[in-house]
Amino acid sequence: MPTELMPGPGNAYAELVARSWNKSLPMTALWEITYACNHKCAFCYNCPERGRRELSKEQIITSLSKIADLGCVFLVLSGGEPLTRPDFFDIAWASKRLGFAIRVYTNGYLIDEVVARRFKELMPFEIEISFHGSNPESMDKLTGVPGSFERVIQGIKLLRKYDLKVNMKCPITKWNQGELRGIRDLAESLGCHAEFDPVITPRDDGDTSPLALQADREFLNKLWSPEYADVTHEEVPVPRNDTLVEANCGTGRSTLAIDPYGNIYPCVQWRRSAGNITEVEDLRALWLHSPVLNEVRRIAMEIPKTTLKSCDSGEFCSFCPGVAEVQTGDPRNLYPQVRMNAEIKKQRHSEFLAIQSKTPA
Amino acid sequence: MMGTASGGANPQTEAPRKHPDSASRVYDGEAFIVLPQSHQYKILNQVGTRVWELIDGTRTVDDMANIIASEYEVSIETAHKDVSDFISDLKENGMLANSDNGKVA
Repeated sequence: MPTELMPGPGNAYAELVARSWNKSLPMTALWEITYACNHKCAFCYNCPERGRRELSKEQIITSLSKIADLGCVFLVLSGGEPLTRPDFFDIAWASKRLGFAIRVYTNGYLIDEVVARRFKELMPFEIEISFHGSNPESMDKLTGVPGSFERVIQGIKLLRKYDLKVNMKCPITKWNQGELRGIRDLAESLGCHAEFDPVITPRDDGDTSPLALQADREFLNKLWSPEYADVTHEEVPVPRNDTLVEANCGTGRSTLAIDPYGNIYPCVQWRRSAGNITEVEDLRALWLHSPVLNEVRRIAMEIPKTTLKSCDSGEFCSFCPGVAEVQTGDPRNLYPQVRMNAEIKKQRHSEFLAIQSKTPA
Repeated sequence: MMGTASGGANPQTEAPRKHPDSASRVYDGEAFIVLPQSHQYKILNQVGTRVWELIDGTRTVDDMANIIASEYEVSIETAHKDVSDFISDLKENGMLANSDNGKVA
């Protein structure tokens, strides 16, 4: 009877995640515990409010139990650069004591032997490190910090020495689009997994200047072709499957996001505040019944039936209503970069099917 | 195997404790357990979840088996065997703390 251990992730995990989405009960909370950062990435979307005080360690630790009561099992400590807070490990340990599995999003620049050892004691589930180039010139150009490549590589080596799981996350830009294989090979040589994200977003205040760094169309044409299958792990772009979850995405459902001032958002991308974590008494009631979040969820459910249906390449759209709102003023509007990616993916998909239909069985 | 966990531990004195690095929450009656040390997730069924909830470092295997027997209306013998087997599985999967001073701490 009781023994029914199932190795995950597998179907049981996928079903659990789908149930959590459909009930709007997030398994993950992402907390940007500071906007302070020691890198000056050209495409960063954070917009600190000048002169506004970020939450203190005590305010954060006091609020963590509300997130635990909501039922989140994963807590992402993000930023800015979370390690610039001298009380980072106090916050992380308080999180661990509340039973969270901790993920850390960091640029890795401040990880030395002492910090790596403290991470080993903490034992986070994983550490995700932003990484931007296969060599010092391209990486340092994107971070705006000379020497960042060498420092971050050293930090990753220290974490790996202690057998900590490290993912290297690379936003694809026109500055590093030719280096993806080099970055992947570097990650593998360090015992890490590299993840590439072709989406560059506007800043949270609507400033679209980061979009000038987007990978160009010629490159994206290659990225979504079999030529880059060794990087994308997809022979061919796969259409959306909107049958498991009746919404465009997990906004308001899968991940609660909190900024350094305590504002609660439906996800990290869509900055409609539903309240402040330091003021709310019953976070579960707020999350499930807030008019702001109810509207966000309603819009997210409409999008597959409206916005995506009206787009010729809708089934290939990785549409983000948060980006749509900040860039166009309406969360339902298609924006140029999602349209371009979807068109390319659809074309690549059609070409693949055409080749398949000509290939003898 | 009735009433005896793997490694010859005594079900009357053995009080298992969750691995200190594990993290878990219960969703729809099923425990979702994250194991950072092995980078894995585990999901338990409802009865396994109940045992997982009972594991607190003070209850012995016997204690837990008695509770399961009464709550699920199974014989004491069946509950002892199943709880012991389950605890063995949890150990094999690295979900419990290591032995300490002759007991599973």
